[in-house]
Amino acid sequence: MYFEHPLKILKYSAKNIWLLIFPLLRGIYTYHFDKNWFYSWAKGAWFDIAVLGAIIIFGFVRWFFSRIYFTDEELVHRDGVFLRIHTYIPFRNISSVTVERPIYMAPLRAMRFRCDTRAGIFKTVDLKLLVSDKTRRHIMEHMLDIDAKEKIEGIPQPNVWSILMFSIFFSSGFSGTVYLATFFFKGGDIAYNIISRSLNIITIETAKITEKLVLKIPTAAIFIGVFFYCFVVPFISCESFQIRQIYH
Amino acid sequence: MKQYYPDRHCLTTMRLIITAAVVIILWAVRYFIPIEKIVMLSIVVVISIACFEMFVHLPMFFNSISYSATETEVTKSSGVFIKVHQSVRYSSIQYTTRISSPLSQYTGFNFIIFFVYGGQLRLLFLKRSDADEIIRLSGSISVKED
Repeated sequence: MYFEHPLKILKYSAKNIWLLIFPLLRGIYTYHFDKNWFYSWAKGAWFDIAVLGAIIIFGFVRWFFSRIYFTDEELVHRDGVFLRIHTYIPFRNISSVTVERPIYMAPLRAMRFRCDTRAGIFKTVDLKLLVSDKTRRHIMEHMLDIDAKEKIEGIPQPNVWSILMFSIFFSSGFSGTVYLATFFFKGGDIAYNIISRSLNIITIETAKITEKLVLKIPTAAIFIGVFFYCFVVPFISCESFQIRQIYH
Repeated sequence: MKQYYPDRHCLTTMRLIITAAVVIILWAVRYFIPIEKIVMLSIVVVISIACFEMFVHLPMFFNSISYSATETEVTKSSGVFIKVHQSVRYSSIQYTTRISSPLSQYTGFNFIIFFVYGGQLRLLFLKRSDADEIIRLSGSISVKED
């Protein structure tokens, strides 16, 4: 059995500690250099100090009941003082583990340990712990090893041409151009006139802006640039696309 | 296949909790509202809702819940007005959460949540022994009690 890192006591207490900010501010406001100042402050603020003590004790109790067990097959986290919550996560179902070591926790050798499976609510982590390096090492010893090389070998990968065609047909820039062209050719004179007038206005405004910017970029270049951007983005994003099949 | 039903102790516990909540609300209404008519109206409304919940809705809700577990899957049937049947294969369970209150053998507050691909199955108000059995059937090994 392992406990979370004692730093978690502060985290459990933190959400209540801020309530004491006002008594603290009042204490600072009334501060004046006096040898009996601390005594008089403690005499006036004894109730606040007692509340602070109770909050920290509550944090300690919550930390004490947050326990980590593990067997060869699953990781178990027990949480809650009155309402006991047990979370059982089989190691074989863990799809990702994240260990975060913030620099301010480094002197205390504490780190955030996050563990996720393929189930659960999106954008939330299935298990989030604040652990010491020792506990993290013990948990990781039980994690299944992944041989990345073995998994990558033999994986079907699309070739450059198929990605190129995919990018052409599925980028919104291409379909947008096709729609616009269809509209211009088949839309009739009225639509053509309306659109042309609007485009003229846009072009005049654009020309004013470009003149101001001394760039002199033709409107056509802007359209081509937008199309190129819409085409390049999916191309780049699909460049390292891989299909993986994992047998259990 | 084995059938499981909610713990009837839980109905009593829920009734006690609702009664306590009603007493607190009525005390607060009498203490904070000086207008007698509003106080009387609030008392009637609160007591009516509580009675409906305690003696109509909750018993119907508890009667509607049943769970059946085989060696491969667990099925939950529930719903007062609309019946819902939800089945989950143990093999698709990714992880399990079990929630128990203190003295859960008397209160019946034992819940199991099975997290599966794309959702979850909540088994509510189980007897403690039933909860242990279902957890064991689902394949969780380390059922620790403390």
